[in-house]
Amino acid sequence: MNIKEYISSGILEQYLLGNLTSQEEKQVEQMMSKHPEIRQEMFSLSDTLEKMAMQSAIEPPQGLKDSILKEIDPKHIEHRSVPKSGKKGQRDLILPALIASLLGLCIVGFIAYSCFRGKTRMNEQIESQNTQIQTLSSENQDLNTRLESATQNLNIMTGGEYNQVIMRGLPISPQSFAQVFWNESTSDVYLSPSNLPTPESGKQYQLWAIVDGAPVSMGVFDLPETDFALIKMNSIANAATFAITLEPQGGVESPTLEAMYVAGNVNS
Amino acid sequence: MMIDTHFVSRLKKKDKLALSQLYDQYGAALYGQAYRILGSEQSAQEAIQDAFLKIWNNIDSYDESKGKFFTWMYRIARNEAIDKKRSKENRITEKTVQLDFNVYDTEADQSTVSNVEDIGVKDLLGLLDHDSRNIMDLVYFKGYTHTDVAKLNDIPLGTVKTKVRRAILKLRASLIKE
Repeated sequence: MNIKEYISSGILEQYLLGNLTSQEEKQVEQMMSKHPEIRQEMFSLSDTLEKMAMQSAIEPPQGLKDSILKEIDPKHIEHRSVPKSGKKGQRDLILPALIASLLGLCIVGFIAYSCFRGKTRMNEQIESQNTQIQTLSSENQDLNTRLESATQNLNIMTGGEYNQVIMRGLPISPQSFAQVFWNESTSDVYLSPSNLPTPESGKQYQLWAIVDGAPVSMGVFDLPETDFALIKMNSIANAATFAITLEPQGGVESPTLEAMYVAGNVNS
Repeated sequence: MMIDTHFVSRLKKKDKLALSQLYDQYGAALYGQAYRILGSEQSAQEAIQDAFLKIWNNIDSYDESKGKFFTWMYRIARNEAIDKKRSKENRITEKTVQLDFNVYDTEADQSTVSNVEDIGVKDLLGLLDHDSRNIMDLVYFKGYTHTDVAKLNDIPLGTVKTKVRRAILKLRASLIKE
């Protein structure tokens, strides 16, 4: 049988319509793979059958699709309310797609908002921590300065290079007490006004050194706010006695002896 | 009307959405076949459900070199319907066959197939002469085998085969024109 006869015998139509036994079908498939003309005719007939099927289509009852989809996926949810239509598939997808995109939008928005709020909150935290750090660092600096001066003072008081001169309270203020630390080799003088009464306003204490029987002003001073503070006074190379008087603000040239609070001799 | 080849690759990956879209595109065409063969909504639904499950489960056995994907689906759907019809007939008896024979001419089937859908069939078959129309109705729409039709009409099998072929060629020509 030649190819033309084979094609016109109608066996291809039988094949397509499902009227052949599986053995006959295999023979047709063999012929198809051997002869491009037969294959060509088969595809052409398929097109016609497809068009005929599309033209004689009948809309299946609602529920059939769901029942099929449920068979392949038990989790499938029914969509019975969707009306029948040629574009049913597309319309089926619009609502879920819309919901999904809205949901997506909400999530993105929420994340963005959270990030924004988080960032704002974090910025606030950073700012307050920066302030705290600044406060702590200035406190630290302050403490360092005080520690430095305290160490320095301790060195002066205990180092051995300074001569300690104790000035005791005189009759007008027997409770008063002060010390001078004097380095005889460098002439440096430090004063510790340990216990002097707060002066009345317009008055200032003045330190004196008695050199060869004559008073030399070592400068005026205010009482320090902290305990154990040392006040650097004027330098002096020689002195037998140190004394403190209460004088008008800014000091005077010669001491007022009636207002002498403390005095002490240098130990030789 | 070509089936996108991406249907096949997606189905092979077990993409459920692909089956859903396949149904949207071809469900009515296949259901139309099954319904005309079986003449019952209930049976046609069962046949199409089984057909789609076969398409889903046996997609790996589809061979592109052996034919178009639509043909493969179409034959699965038709075979499901024809098998169902045979098992039903075996249970009921053959007496309805004679009645079914003239459905196209007698309008007896109009109560079960809606007018709108029948217009499509009539338009198609109206292009053919009386003999070819009857044979095509039986073979194409009712799912009879060529041998059945030869026996029923008392004509040689070869005649049925050529008549079916000529009818399809004629329909093809008119469908191409559209």
